[in-house]
Amino acid sequence: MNCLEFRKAVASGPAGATPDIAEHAVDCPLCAKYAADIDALNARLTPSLSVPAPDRTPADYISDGQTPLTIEPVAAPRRWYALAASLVAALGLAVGWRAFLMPDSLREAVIAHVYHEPNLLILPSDARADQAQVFKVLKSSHVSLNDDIGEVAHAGLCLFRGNLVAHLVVSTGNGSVTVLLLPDEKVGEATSINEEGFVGTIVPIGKGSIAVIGEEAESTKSVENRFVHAVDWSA
Amino acid sequence: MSDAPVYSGDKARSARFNLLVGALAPDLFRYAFWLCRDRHVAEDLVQETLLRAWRSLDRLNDEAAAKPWLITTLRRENARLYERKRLEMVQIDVQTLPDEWAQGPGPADDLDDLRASIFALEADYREPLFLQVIMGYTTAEIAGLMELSQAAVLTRLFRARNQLRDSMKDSNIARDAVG
Repeated sequence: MNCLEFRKAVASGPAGATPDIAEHAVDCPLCAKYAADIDALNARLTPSLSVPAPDRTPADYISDGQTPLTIEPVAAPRRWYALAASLVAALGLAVGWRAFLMPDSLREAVIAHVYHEPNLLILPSDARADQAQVFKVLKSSHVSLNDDIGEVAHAGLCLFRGNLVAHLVVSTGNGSVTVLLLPDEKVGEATSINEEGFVGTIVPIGKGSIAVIGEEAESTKSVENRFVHAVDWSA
Repeated sequence: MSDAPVYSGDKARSARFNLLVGALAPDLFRYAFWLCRDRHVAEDLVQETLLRAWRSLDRLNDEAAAKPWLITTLRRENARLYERKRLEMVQIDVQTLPDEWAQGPGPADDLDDLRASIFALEADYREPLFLQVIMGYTTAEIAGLMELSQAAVLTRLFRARNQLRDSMKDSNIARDAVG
């Protein structure tokens, strides 16, 4: 083994540790130092690269990413939808297939997402998001607001069905209301949500939709109205 | 939460899933973090990856292949995300290393500086470094995962280490000047 082969082998990683390497290191102090330097740097890199991981098991990730069990037994409605869809197809009424089928899975995804960030459900009533942060989130979501949406307690970007979307929490006198701005989720008509203590709506707006979810119908509706008037996807 | 509904539906399947990915989940998260440099997006990426793994579990016959399968899937999820939304998204809350992560076991200054230097590395350099140092992959394996030549991986690793050495020298000089 020559010096070049040695260095390539050392740099190639742990599986490169062979008897040849050890022999060469004994005979070549410069290569031995090269290997020692890489080992020393790796020893320092390991704790730096090992950023703290969340205390979540695979089960946590999976259950957080799925609709909770209490919602999962929508098997019956799903069968009903399937039957209804078959009848519609049989009758040749090829109208709004996608719009008809999408809201159910979208609704489940919205609720699952809200569950996924439980800390946002218990924000203190006086929590306020930084205005610059709200602006950045909206800008990155390609959303502009043409009207007042009220006090924003939280603004963040979230991965939702493959897209980064704005996740806002708006403070109201009757608790917080979660709003997801979904420019890539077109729905045919408004879909109500009333599950697991949550009420709200997925409302079509232009090319996309917004999901508005809270615990109290009146304040949720009020926030929905504000956003319907304010959201503009053309930003 | 470990006895969550979907997960507990089939105990044998759940146990197999846990066996396949349980020990990998923390490093998957770290990999995701160093790819996207945002811990929330990283958690979402891991979640998407594990959901795909859960749905594809029956096809994951070779348990030895689970690790590269998960890494490849997470890589694609990340690429898909940023291809669709373009890299402008990286500008959001991503360019700053979380304060609480700038500290850990060992000499705080050294860890802070090195972590910040890794954070500042180009993604092309950061990724193979993580795959080698934390995941224990050889350059040949990294080349396979990243769809690069082995020479390209060696070059990236070489440059990554050199840049880190340079930044560490700078940090030491700055610290010595202060101290």
